[in-house]
Amino acid sequence: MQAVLKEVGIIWRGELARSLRSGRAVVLLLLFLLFTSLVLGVFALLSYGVSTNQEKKFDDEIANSPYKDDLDPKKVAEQKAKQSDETGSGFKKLVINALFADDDTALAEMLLALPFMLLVVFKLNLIFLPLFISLMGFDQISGEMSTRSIRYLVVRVRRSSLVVGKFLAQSSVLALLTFVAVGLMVLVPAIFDKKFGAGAAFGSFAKLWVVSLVFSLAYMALASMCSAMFRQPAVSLAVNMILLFVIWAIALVGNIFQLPGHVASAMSLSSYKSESVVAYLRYLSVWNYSADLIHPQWQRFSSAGAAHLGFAMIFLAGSYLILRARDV
Amino acid sequence: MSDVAIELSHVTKHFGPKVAVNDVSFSVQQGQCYGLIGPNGAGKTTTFSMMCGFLHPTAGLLRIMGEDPSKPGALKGKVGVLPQDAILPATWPVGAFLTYLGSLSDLPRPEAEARAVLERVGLPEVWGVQCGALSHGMAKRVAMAQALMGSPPVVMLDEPTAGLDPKIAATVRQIIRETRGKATLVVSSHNLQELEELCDATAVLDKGRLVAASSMEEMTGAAAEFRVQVAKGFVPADDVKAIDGVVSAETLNDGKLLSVRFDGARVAPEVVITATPKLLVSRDVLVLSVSRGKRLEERVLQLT
Repeated sequence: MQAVLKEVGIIWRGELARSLRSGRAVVLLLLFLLFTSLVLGVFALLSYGVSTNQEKKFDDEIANSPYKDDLDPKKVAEQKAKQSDETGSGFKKLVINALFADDDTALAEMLLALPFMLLVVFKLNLIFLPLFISLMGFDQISGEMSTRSIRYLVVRVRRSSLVVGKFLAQSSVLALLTFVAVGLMVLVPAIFDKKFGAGAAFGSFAKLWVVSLVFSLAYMALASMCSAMFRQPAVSLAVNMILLFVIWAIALVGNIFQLPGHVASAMSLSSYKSESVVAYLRYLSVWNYSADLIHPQWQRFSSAGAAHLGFAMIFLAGSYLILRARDV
Repeated sequence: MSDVAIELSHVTKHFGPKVAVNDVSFSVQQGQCYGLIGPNGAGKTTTFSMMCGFLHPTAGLLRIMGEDPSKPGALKGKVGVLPQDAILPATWPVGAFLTYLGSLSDLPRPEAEARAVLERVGLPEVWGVQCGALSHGMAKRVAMAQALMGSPPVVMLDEPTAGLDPKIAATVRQIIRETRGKATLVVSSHNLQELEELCDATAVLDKGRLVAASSMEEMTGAAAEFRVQVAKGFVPADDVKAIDGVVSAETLNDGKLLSVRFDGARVAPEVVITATPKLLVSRDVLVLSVSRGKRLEERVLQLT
């Protein structure tokens, strides 16, 4: 066992140094930051548009009011700010309830406490993170098989050590990239949102970074499995993308229906869904468990984490079994 | 412990419907330098790759130093391999890559070992150079270096001199010569002259089947040949043919070269080789040199 751990450690260090040296990590980081900045920019523009529109509407109402000359400008300004807050808060509640916390008040409350910008950008990033991971790790094994450089390694180490060592190296690079990306996501609202203090910002950063890492595990292992399946990196990437689509599609189909016997609260999105056994399909997809990774209740968070870990173990075991059985 | 370092018993390998290696059996004794010979598509590299654990045999038994090469970690520290077409990872500096491989082989001082082996292949200056920037000859020698690192008891070299210029090929051959006796060597090559010079025993493969496996002496004995280069004088080919054991004698290059074939299994080579120039000198023929012919090549051409 000690020999295996030593092998894994050496491969992890070697592959990590290689990833950092190759400059690929920097390119991927830039790509990820560009995407994050784009989402932040679009969100800021939309918020600005909604807010400007709201203020214009309010100003028009005041201008057209027959009592406009009698109004106290200080109170008008206060009223304007209050209305703007209420509109923003109402829009935020609507989006959170509809998209992120259907029929779950505890989760909705926790999400409402986060700056809206942070929540939206983080959620969008989670959607694209699996694609990013597949771009990062699709050739971790197939790239070595296509050039046969894997032959220098397999004569010296167990194939299991190779799979685990490379997986850990990829995870380390991703941890570094998400550290920077989540940091940026938290930093922007921390600067512009006065209600989002340093303590809250640090707490949110730590939580969202851990969530990103746990969320990524299964997709990293999936990339490893696809990479072990084929000798051509391009084929590994294509199959990885197809499997990601299958994972999303299974979760989507499972969530179109309501679980039989489940009682949904009135006016929630779930209340509009019809009951069907097809809803159980959702449990076959790792995507289904991602929402609970930011759940405030410990049990929900840990079961979602365990599900991600379970899927990661299955994909990683698949990667090993494929690599062990195949010719290199 | 058995004297057998490598053992193949009824080994077969299929790639889909294609049979690449069919029921091949041979063994390599410890300390031997063993050649794997055969034309293109004979199954040399497939056999070699199964011995290194890169390919899993479809059927049969394979043992390297008593271990099944497909068992996880079985070859660690026991085998050094120069794979034929494995490209060195382009972004690794040579020194870092060799040190990394040394660590994976559990060598006690991987960096010192990496430096020593680079020195041995004559490339200490490429320590900091990225593998992707090496010329073909340099890359081959670096690949050779990783195979020799840690002095493993079994070293397997697939086409070690293929595509190299004569000077570098000679360097590689010299390294192989130096390794002989210190490790069991398996060399797969198309260069039969090279194998004849280096190997103690050999296996000849053709169309996936083993057509012969024996010591080099036995392999080349039946197809004994030597050549005499003549400076001046008439070569009496018919009289040479009359020497005991000679099968044929013919003059080439306008009588400047005499090619003699003899039955090496019946008459000792030194007897025929001594008798022929003696006869020529007695007939006032001036002899420039006598050299053994391409015996292995002849034999392999007969077999395949």
